[in-house]
Amino acid sequence: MPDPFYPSVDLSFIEHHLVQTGKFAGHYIVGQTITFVLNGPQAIHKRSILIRQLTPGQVCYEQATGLAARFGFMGALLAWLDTNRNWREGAYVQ
Amino acid sequence: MQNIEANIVITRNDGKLASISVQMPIWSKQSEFDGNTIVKLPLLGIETVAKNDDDAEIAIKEAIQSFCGVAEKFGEGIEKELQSLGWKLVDSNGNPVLGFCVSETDALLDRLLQTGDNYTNENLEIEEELEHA
Repeated sequence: MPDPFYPSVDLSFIEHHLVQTGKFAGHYIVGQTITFVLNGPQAIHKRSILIRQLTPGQVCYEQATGLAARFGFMGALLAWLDTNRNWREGAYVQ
Repeated sequence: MQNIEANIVITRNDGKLASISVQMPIWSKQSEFDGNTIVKLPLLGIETVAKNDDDAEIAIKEAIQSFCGVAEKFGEGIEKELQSLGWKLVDSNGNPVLGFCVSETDALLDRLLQTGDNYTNENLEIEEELEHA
């Protein structure tokens, strides 16, 4: 069953961590879609990160955790969710 | 012989990208995780997300426009970036036409591509400098 209670994450938090990779080239916005681009010699599809904001300024949990795993900020993301969404993986905070 | 399973026609004005005509298979399904619609455009190497089927149409359009804009601004241009994804230049008389071609002997890939929904947009405008920052 789909779970509507997964929290969204602020786009600014995600962007902050992508910029910290040091490979950040820039971004490109079309409507609700923002594509972050990394520097490098690879083809563009290998260094593009597409995020679609279903709510303005928000990244859905599934996309956020995917990016956190790929760019190594899962610990920071879980801490952010605890602090800002009162949410912990596996259990709702009392 | 090869079958062309997808194609993109690129229109430029004075060398500057103006619009594209696109036809390609896409796949969408409801996420079992949170109920959003996950949309895949594997021929462009893109996965995006939408609230529902109507929103998915917008998401697909934005994804293709983003690919083109990013390829022009940060990459080697749409033609070359598509070629790195396996597309081929099938005609360059006038406006460049790129196709995703499948050999007739590759029946499995052909059948896989047939399982997608066909997305067609004959005039997708690419606003090169308007919205990026």
